[in-house]
Amino acid sequence: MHVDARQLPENTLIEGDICIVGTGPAGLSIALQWDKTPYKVILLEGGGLDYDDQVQDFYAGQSTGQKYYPLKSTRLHYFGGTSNHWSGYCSPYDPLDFEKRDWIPHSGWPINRSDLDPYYARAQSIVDLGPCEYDVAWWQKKDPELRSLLPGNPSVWNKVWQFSPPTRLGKKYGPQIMASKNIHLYTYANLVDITANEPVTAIRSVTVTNLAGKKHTVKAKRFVLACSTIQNARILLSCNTQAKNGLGNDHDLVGRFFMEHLQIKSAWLFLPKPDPLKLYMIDPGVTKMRCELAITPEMQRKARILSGTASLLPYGIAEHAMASIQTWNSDDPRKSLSNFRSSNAASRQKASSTSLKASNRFMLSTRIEQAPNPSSRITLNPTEKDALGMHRSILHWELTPFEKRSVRTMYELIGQEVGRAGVARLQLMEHLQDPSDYSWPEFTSGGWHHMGTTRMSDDPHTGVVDANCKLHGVDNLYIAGASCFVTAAAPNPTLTIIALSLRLSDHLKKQLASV
Amino acid sequence: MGAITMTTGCGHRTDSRTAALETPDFLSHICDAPTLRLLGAAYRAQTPSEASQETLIRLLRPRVTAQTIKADYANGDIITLKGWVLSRTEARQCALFSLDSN
Repeated sequence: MHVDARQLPENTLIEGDICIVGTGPAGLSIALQWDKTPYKVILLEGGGLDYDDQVQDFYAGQSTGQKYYPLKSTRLHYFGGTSNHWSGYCSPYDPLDFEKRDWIPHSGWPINRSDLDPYYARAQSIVDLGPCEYDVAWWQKKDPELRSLLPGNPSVWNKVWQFSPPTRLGKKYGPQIMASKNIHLYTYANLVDITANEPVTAIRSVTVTNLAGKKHTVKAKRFVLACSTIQNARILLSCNTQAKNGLGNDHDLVGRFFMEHLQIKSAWLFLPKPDPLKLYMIDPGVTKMRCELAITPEMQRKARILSGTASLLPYGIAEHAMASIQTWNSDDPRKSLSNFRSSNAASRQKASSTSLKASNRFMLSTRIEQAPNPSSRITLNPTEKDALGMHRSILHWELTPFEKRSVRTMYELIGQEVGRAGVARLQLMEHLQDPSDYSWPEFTSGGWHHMGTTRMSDDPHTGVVDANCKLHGVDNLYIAGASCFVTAAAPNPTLTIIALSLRLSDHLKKQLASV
Repeated sequence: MGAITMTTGCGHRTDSRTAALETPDFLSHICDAPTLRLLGAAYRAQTPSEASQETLIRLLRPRVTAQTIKADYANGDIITLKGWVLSRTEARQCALFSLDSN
């Protein structure tokens, strides 16, 4: 069932068993698990079924610190959320990513990779991936041409990615949601306030509104905030009437630890003769899987570095490629996406067909986690509000020398291993050549992956939500999405967002069954 | 950057054994002679105690094989020159080549 909240009478009371705020990969993945159940699900979307620039403007904000994309364009504010323009890269986080790593301050999730394993398997089908196989040997059996550059290497391994078509969750699951008898989708229902009991231990209702000026109240037994990493923090910080510092922010953690994936061209790989290196190549829209070079957990421990991967791009394309920070440059996400895609297509078109078949020179590009950093954060802009009266966000994305050292070390290790194997030589790009240089070049980009602002911990002094994604101190408010991530790992986060959301959904079902 | 021709730029080729020592075999397939010279000069500047031809020949003797170089990498005896992650042995070969071809 679908209702446009602009068409409802003013001050409508909407009631259900569970209220899910947000229809991106997190919110929709949860909602789908509740279809055909006895529970009444209220699913709230701030935008409509299609792009609406007036609604998209609610995501506009200011950036300080490390240069970043225009905030308005990095997330999509309509049904299906950012799945409406994601690229479909999927890979699970590794067991080490969840562990407390003594060389990385603030690392360590209160859950293990094994806690997510069954949910990764279920997440695969939601975004139309192949079998839940992330062991390169499984794929190599199917295609012997997927030859490893460094087989059996103790320091460098092949991390498998699978590619979603990419699934646009709103388009794919919209009909099911609309037809559902127990899922009630309300579009143009922007959450602007949360009302709790006193002394703020349970949520009574949330207030939603829209540009038509209609304000409604939603009551439910359980609430799930699934509005994206920046918006989750923004909403909690904005709810400061009953909780002076914002909801769930007694320990000044909401909004802190904002993390992104650093994406930056880093090195050149030279082979003695041209090689297709098919295992590492991607033909967008065609390739089902590929590998990136990654540093083994043992070597990460030994070198005391962050987790990252290196993707390979033939020189013929790479010489024409522009960094995403240079092409994703418009406030309007449609224009940024168009610029980005045009630039990528142009670099492929300029490359000769020969250089695409096989190359003896490849560009290595990094995707690496940043260390959890409390100074990298989302705050509210005290002077600027959006059209609904909500304070806009300020992002201060802050990197540290640790990331630079990790990137450099990663390539020194790969360089060492290709040399040891006698298969290639590696040259660091100029920005990595001076070990005392911790600056970042202007083409340093992010992965559009926002994480960490409501981080998970068993201890309310070190986390905003617990291991079940429940807000510490509040009995019935849960957070879904990458804002709960403790560390960023190397892979694109969507698969883990969905897996974690499915786990939350199962937890909520148990909760409601016991009521 | 194509494979180098070892006669390139050599004004005074030494004996054949030295020529073999100064040939970074793998690297010569991916770097041209000017790049090898550049790397060699960088090594000599970074390691002045090994900047002379006599010293380099002594350090590279009796012979250099692919296994010698792989062993450097395996033992972590590597050096970064102009961003290139090289084995100590092939860096010395470049240094010798840069002297012999000046």
